[in-house]
Amino acid sequence: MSRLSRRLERSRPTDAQVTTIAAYPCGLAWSPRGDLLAVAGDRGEVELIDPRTCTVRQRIAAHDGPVQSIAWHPRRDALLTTGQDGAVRLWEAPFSATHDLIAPSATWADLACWSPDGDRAAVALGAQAHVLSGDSVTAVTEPVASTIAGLAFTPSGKSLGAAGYGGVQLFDPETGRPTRKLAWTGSMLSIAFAPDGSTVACGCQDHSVHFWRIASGKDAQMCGYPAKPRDVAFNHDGRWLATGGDATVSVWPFDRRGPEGRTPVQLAAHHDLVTALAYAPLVDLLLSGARDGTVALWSPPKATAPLALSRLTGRVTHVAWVTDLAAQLLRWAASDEHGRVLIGQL
Amino acid sequence: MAERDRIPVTVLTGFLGAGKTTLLNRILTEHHGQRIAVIENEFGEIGIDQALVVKADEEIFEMNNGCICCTVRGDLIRVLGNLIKRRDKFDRVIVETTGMANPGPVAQTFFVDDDVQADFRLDGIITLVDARHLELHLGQQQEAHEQVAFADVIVVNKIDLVDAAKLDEIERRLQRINAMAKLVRGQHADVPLATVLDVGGFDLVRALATRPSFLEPEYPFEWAGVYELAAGDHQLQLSPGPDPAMRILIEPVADAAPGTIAAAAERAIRRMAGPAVVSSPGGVVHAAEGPCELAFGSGEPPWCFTLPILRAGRYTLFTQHLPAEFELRLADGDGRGLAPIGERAFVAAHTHDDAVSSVGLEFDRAFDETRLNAWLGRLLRERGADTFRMKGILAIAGADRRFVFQGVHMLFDGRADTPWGDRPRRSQVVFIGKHLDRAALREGLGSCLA
Repeated sequence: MSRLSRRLERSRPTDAQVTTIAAYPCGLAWSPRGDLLAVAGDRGEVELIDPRTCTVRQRIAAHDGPVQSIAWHPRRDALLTTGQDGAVRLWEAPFSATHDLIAPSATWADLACWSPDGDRAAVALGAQAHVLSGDSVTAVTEPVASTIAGLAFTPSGKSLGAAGYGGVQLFDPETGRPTRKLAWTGSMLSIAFAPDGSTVACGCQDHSVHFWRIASGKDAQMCGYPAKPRDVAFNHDGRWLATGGDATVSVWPFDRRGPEGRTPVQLAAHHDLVTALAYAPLVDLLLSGARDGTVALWSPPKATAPLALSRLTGRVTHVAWVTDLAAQLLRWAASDEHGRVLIGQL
Repeated sequence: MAERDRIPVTVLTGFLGAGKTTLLNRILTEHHGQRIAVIENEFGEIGIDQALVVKADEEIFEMNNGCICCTVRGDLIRVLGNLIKRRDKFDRVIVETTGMANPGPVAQTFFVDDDVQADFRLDGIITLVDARHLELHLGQQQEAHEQVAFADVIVVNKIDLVDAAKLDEIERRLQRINAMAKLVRGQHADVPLATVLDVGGFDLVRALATRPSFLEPEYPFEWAGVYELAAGDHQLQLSPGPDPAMRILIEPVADAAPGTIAAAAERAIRRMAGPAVVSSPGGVVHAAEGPCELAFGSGEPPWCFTLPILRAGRYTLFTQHLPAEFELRLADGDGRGLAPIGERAFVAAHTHDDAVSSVGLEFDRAFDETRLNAWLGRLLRERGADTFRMKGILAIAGADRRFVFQGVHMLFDGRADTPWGDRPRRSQVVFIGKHLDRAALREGLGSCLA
C-alpha cells in the first residue's frame, strides 16, 4: 500500500467548497492529474474548474445543444466530448481548438470512454459503438439490440463491452467484431468491469443487478431493489460492488466466494433514491449522491455511518474522484441539477 | 415532486395517414404560449423550426419475467431522461408514435420507470383515426384495436370523406371498443387544442369526471322508431330476413326527441329481456304488453301481423334487427304505410365482432374492501394481459371517501379521494380489453358487495 493510501486510511474529510455553473450538469470528470474538474452543461459548454480556488478557469463551447458525455484521457490533458448534436470532439490542452472525430448528425453521440492505456477511445451512436484511435474512427461495431446504455473497455483494454437490451456484447476494439455475448432478458442500464477483468456487472431496468463471471460465463443477479439500480461501481480491488436503486446504498461482497447467498453492507443516510455513485481510487472510500440533494462519503465495509454528509440543493447528477499525486491527496466532486458543484478533498 | 411540477406528456397514436403529423403541426403553430418538446418515432415533416424535436426509434423492452406489464419503451425512458436536462426549455412533451405502435408499453413506461415518473406525467393518449379507412384498419390490424382501446380521446379525422350515416356507424363502433374515450371530429385534424391537451386521462381525481358513455349497455335491439298511431288496427308486414324469428317491443312514448328515445331504450332493455308472447303470421301483436316474438315459420311472405291500438298516441317500436333486413312496413287501418317521426339505431349485443370492447358496470351497494382487493388482485394476475385499461370510482363499506382507481394491464394505481357527502354512493367501473366477459365481471364484482 502506498504512502498516500496509508495516509488516506487515517484522514478525515475537510470542508467542501461549492461553485455554480449556469447549466444542468451533463458530465463531471477530473483531469488525470486532478488539477482540473470538467463540468459539461446542457447548452453545449464545458467548464474547467480549478479545484484549489473553486473557480472556473476556462469555458469551452463544445457542442451545439446538450453535451451527452465527457471523458478525460487517462494520461494527458485531453478531453473527449460527445453531444446531442451527434458530434464527437477531442479537446487537447489548452482546449482552445478542436476538430470533429465524428461530424454532427441526427444521432446523439454518447458514453465516451477511454481504454485504460489511453490508446483508444469509444463512443456510442445509437446501437453502434465507434472506436477512435489517433484522430480517426478505426472501427464501428455491429449494431446491438437497442441503443447502447453502458460502454466500457475491459481493464486489459482488449475488449469493449456494450450493455443494453438483452445483455452485454463484447467486441474486439481492433476490428469492431463481436466476440462474446453475455445474454440476459431485460434491459441493462450501465456497465462496470471489476478491476481484474473477471466480472462485469450491470444495473437493470427490472430493479435488479445482473453480473457475469466472464471466464465461465456464469451469471447471477441481485434482486429486490425498490427502484432501478442504474449506478453500479466496483471498489479499487474489485472485492466490493456498490449499487443504487434505493435510498440505501447496497455494497455487495465480490471476493472469491462472491455475493451469492450473502447479504450486502447497507449504507443508510440518504432520504431518497441514490442517483450517483463512485468508488475512490486506491482506498475503500465511496461517494454517493441522491435525489434529495445529499452527498455522502462512506468507508465501507469498515463503517456503515457516513464519514461526512453534505447537502446540495437538488438531485445529485454526478459524483467523481481523482488522485492528485502532486498534492498527495484525493479530490472528489459532486454536481446537482441546479448546476451547483461541490468539491472536496481528503 | 408536486403534481403541478411534473411535465405533462401527450401521446399521439394513429395509423399512417390518419393525420398525426397534421395535428402535431397544428398544436405547434397555435399560439398557446407553451413550449413543446416533441419525441418522434415516425419521422414526419414538422413545419416548425424552433420546436425541440427528438427523433428516436421505438425500442420495446420486455423484462426477464416475461410479464406484459413490464414491457416498456426504452427509447422514451432514455429520451425523457435526457430532456429533463433542458426542462427550462419546454412546458410539455408530445410523443408521436409510429402507426403500428401498441400504446400499452408507452403507457406502462409512465407507471413503472422511477425516473420518468419523478419528472413526467402521462396526460393523455390521443388516437387519430381516418374515418374513411377505419374499418379496413380495424379489420386487418390488432394495433388499430389497441390504439382505439387505450385512447383517452379519439379524433375521428377526415370526416368530410364519409357520409353522416357512415360517421355514426364509425363512432358507434369506436365507442363500443372504447366507451371511456371522448370522441372529437375533425376534417384536417382541426380540433380545438383544449380537446387534446390537458385531458387528464390518467389523473385519478378526474378519472370519471365526465360521465362517459361507457355505462351505455349493450342493447337487445338494433333499432327503435317512434310512430304517431291512431286508435284502431294497424298492420305490421315483414319479408324473409336473416333469421327465422325476430323479437319486437311496442311501448307508448311521450315524443320523438333523442333524449326520450334514449330513456325509452334504457327501460326497454329490461322489458325486452322478459318472457315473450310468440306470434305467427296472421296473428296479433299487442302494444305495451311486453315483447313479442314474431315466428315466421308458416305462410307465404310477406307475413302480416295485426297491431291493435286502443289509445291514439306515440309509440316506439323496438326491433331486434334492423327493419330494412326484413323489409318491415307498418301500415294504418287503410293500408297506408307510416313513416317513423323519430328513429335511432343501436349497438346490439349480438353483433359484436370486435374482440376488444368496453364493459361498464354500476353498483348501488358498497363493496367489502378485503374481498374486492382479493378479487381485483386475481383479475389483474389472470386477465391483466387482456385488460388494457380500467378505471373506477368505488364506494367501500365503512369508508366516507370515494376510492378512485385506474390501471393499465397489471399496473394498478388507486387511492381514497374526496368524501361522498350527499352524493349517492354509486360505484362505477369500466374495463376496456380483449375478450371481456361482461357477465363474469358483473358476477365477480357483485360477489364483493358488502
